[in-house]
Amino acid sequence: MTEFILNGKKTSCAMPEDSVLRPVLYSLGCTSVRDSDDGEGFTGSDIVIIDDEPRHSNLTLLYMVEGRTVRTAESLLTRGRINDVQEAMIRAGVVQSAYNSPTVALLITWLLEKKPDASWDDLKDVLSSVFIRDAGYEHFRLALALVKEKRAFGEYRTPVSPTFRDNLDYIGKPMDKVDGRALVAGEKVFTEDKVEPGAYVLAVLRSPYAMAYITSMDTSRAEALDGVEAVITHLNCPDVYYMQAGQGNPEPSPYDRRLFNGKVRHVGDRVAAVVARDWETAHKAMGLIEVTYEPLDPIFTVEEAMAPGAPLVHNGKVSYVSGAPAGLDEYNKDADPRDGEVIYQFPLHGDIRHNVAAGAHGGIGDIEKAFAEADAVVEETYQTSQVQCTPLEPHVCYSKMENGRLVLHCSTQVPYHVRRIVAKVCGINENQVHVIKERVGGGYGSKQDILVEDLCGYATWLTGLPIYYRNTRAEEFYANSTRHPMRLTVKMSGKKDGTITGIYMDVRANTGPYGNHCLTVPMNASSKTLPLFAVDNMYYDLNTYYTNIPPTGAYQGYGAPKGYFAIMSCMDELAHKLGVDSLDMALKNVVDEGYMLEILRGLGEGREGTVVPVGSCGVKEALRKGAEMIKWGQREASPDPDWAIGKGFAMIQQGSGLPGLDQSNAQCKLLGDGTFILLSGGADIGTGLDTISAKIVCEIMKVGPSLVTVVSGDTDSCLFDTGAYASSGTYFSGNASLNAVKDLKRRMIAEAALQMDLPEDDLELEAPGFVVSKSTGRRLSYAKLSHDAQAGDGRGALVGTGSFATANSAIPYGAHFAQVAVNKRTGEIKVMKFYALQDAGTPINPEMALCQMYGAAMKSIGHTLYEDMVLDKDGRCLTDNFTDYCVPMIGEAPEDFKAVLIDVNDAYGPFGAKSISEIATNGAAPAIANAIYDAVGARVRSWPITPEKVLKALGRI
Amino acid sequence: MREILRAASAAEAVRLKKENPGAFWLAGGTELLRLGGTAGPEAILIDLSAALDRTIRVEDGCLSIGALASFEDVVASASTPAWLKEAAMYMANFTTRCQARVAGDVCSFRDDAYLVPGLLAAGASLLIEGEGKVDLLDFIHARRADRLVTSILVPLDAVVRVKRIARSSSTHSALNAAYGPCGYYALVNGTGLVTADEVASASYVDDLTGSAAYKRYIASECLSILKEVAR
Ligand SMILES: Cc1cc2nc3c(=O)[nH]c(=O)nc-3n(C[C@H](O)[C@H](O)[C@H](O)COP(=O)(O)OP(=O)(O)OC[C@H]3O[C@@H](n4cnc5c(N)ncnc54)[C@H](O)[C@@H]3O)c2cc1C
Ligand code: FES
Repeated sequence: MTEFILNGKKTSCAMPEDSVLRPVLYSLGCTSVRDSDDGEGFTGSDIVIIDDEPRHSNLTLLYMVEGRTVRTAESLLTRGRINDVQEAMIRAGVVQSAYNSPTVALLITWLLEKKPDASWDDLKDVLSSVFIRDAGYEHFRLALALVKEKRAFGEYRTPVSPTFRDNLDYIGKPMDKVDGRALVAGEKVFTEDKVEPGAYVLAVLRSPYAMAYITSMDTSRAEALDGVEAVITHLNCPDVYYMQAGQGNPEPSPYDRRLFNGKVRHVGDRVAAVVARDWETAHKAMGLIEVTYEPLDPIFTVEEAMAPGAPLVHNGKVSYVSGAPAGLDEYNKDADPRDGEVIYQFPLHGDIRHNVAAGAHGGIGDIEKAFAEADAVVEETYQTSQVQCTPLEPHVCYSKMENGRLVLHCSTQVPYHVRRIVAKVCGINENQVHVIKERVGGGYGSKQDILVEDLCGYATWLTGLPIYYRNTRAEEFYANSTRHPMRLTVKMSGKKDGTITGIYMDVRANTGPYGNHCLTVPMNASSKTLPLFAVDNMYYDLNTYYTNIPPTGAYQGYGAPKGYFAIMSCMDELAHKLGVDSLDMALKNVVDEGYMLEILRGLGEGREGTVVPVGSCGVKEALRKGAEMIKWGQREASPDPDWAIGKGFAMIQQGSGLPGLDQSNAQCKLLGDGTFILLSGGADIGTGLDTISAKIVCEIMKVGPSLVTVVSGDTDSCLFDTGAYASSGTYFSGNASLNAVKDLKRRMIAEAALQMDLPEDDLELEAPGFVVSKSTGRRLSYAKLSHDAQAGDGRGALVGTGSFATANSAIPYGAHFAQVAVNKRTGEIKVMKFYALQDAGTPINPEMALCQMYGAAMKSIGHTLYEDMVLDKDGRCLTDNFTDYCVPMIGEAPEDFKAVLIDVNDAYGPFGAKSISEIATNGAAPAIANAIYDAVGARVRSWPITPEKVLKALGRI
Repeated sequence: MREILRAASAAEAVRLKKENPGAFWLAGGTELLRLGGTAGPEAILIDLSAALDRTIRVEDGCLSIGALASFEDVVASASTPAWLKEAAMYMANFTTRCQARVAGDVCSFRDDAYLVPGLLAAGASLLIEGEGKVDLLDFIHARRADRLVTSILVPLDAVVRVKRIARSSSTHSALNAAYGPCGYYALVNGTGLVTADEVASASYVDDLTGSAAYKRYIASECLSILKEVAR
């Protein structure tokens, strides 16, 4: 029995003394103590204070706390109320996906106990313990200032963010995130917290080969093991082809897999799944499964995939749901049945017999003429690497049966796609599946894909058992989705006056073993970059290849960060060749409001795109303001002769959802006491989407946030939404909420008119919750309005429904500037300044928007300088933990980091809002690459730009 | 299940290890228990918390650092020379700095140990239970897991310069080097300890921290840089 003081209370624990402390604390009810790295000591989700010193509870054994005091984030609560540090964190906007927010709050509280006047440097040092992927680190400086002000003056004095739209009360103003309290307190809000005692576990046996046929498999010994409930393999899984990308139906990705396949296509591919009573049994059972493989020569790069006679990753029968090309029978003549099938929903210009999963081609003008007549032409190839989203909460799923229905607790960006795909895999109807999106501890695109729910859901459907599945961190790296590595060749021509006359992009993407997003991610490399240029001659070719690297998929920014790295680096190279200033070149060739985007015609996602004019556009303002802030054109002297300083920038754009493809729906209900529940199909993944919906209710209904509750992402109670991806949240789900609330308002006025016996046009809504007659001043409270409407003789409950689909784009624009110092002797790179300037239309949650920008910019600084998935010659991932993979921590944050919102009002977004976060991943790579060149003349054209590559470019090694 | 043995004194810690040659002395646990750890589920652990101490004091012109002093103790002590604080601050993150012990660093024999190059350049020695004072360089070369370090002695008059080359603040280093009165010592990932004389001839390997050519180059360039700074 181990005895210790836990959060001030004597505690006795009968668990074995060598138990790892973290799960012990979790089992004792301290749900704030989580695990993001399987005990790597890296991410800080598990930090506790033991005898007044911070400790990794994952690296501490139970016996070590005998007789000692242990504090977890639960100790910060007083009668359920969060403390001032937690309040300040919410106010500063840093509580986003929040998987480790409670431990961060604990650390800051501890620091302020030790040192009440702690400085930003003190806090930075302490924050080196925590990996924060979503909001970045910058606003913790603000949180610290707010706590100190509250303690000194009883109030916050530093403005949390700029405010927008003076005519509105809630929109464009900071407001505490609606789920902030639960998240920062460490409440049971994540999928893992929903797992009930007695739940079974699911473990996956994975392929040791990068490509092989499974020639035989014997699961009998595993099945015979006590505690094993099922073993699922390619021999007994449903014969259903599907794909794991959560995209609109019909998807622009091929159905090229089943739950298990007779051919494995990457190291870590699924071979078998074991459902067992506990982990020990599951792992033992996995060791008893006998598999024989026929290994095949793998391919890992686009070049290897393109080579004549290259091994084929997929060589099965190809079919099309619609638009089958002629000669398909001939094409399938030599298909190998062991490879399964590839089913395209419609043609994507794929040719699997040459490893091509998808292709697209298009453009405008006469590109060859443009190149021939130019004063200078630059043609260069840029390479981007495979990088991982690394959400702090790995992919998890808890599935169970309830009254004959399959219930899935999920950490997902796409609850409705999960429902559809799981139903398809199980061969059941969608009404038999209930998906509950829990709080999402980080997604960044990787939870747009149905990577674990398919298997976990099917295992429950098969066995009837409650089953919990959780990826290990290593599995997150080798069996999850990542950014597609790409090779991009850009050819750009220009005139001496700086006019760009032609741009050609040749995009070769590596989709890995399966075709998730194989058209759309690479497509984005062109479709989100070319429309930024007011250039008459632009063409692109795109081919995506199957290989045997770990799977790829969606990652915040989609293909755009790669396209921007190439196109803005190339523009900088062209400007240097022509001897013009690259900022002048950008300003001269960038689009402006009203410019007709002809290029869009050939840039639809597998279909013809619609030509529209540029709408609201703050790119020129972002360029000018950023240039002023960074003192563009002024060379900075370095105090140390070994270091040289340089500057670079990139102009950027993204989209707001997928006009013509996406749809969102919402409902808003007036309750009997005059309060509101908004049901949104949208999936808040920590970014504040629910808060946007709440603010919309507050704004239109003129009530405070305490009277509004938002329920979202529950497929039973909420209406359909395509999901949180492609920067759709604010624009699509937000507009659906707005339409629902407007519909409810119309119904409330109509009902009030009847109840008050007044004409509708005489009535308006008034704070804090009344319908008021403009002519008489008579008031009817929402409570009475609702009560009477739903009374025995009433006309029915008041509910508004809203839907949003559109052909109009609300494109966010921006410019990112970097100032770097480069050591000429060691190649070391420091990002001294990073300024992210973006036009997000009306930023509905401005403080959270700023944090999204900091977080996204940090992610892109990560892929630019540090992060890299490295495979060995056999395709094994060597970087399957945070330390080796090298994510950026606070030590990598720019010394001077600023996010600036350019004020532009959009015509189509809710209250003029556009999207915010994806675009912020586009700027760092080109801005930093160009700044490095400016500093030392080293042009590095591949991610990550390491000191070694800089030294090579300088000819030192 | 791991077996936990509690040593009440340094002598007992040594005795327990002799009786259980496969057992591990456990200090901060940030290496032994990390990522499932060297000390797996069947390991025997000898807990040192009651056997050794964490005091840092000045004695005969040396900084005497108790084996169980945490990296943060080293950073926080007013007596610690600036170069040693800088080396202790290389630790991956603050919480690990509070948890990891100096002896754990020295006794992990890693190619990226944080303190070792600086200590070698300064001419540090160790107190080993049952043996007395041992030169750190000899200890590192011997690479034995059966010698219990009770404290580290660092000459306070040593002027040392340190430099660590890693892709990011929290990742493992390609090179961790120091220059001081006892010369130049670089720990190079995949190679181990390299002295000034060995920089050109040492064999370097390609790994996640960089290519062999890169490591050869920085091992040599850092020698020049540190010498220049020392001047
Ligand atoms: C994110 C992260 C990154 C890391 N990166 C690095 C890195 O780059 N470089 C690096 O060197 N380490 C790294 N580590 C590992 C570790 O933090 C350090 O090596 C640390 O110094 C180990 O100290 P400890 O007290 O935790 O050792 P423990 O884990 O307790 O022990 C380490 C070893 O030392 C032995 N030992 C401990 N005390 C004594 C003693 N008194 N006498 C004899 N033997 C003893 C143990 O038996 C064991 O073999 C990292 C850790 C984390 C969490
Ligand atoms: S071990 Fe502390 S963060 Fe995982």
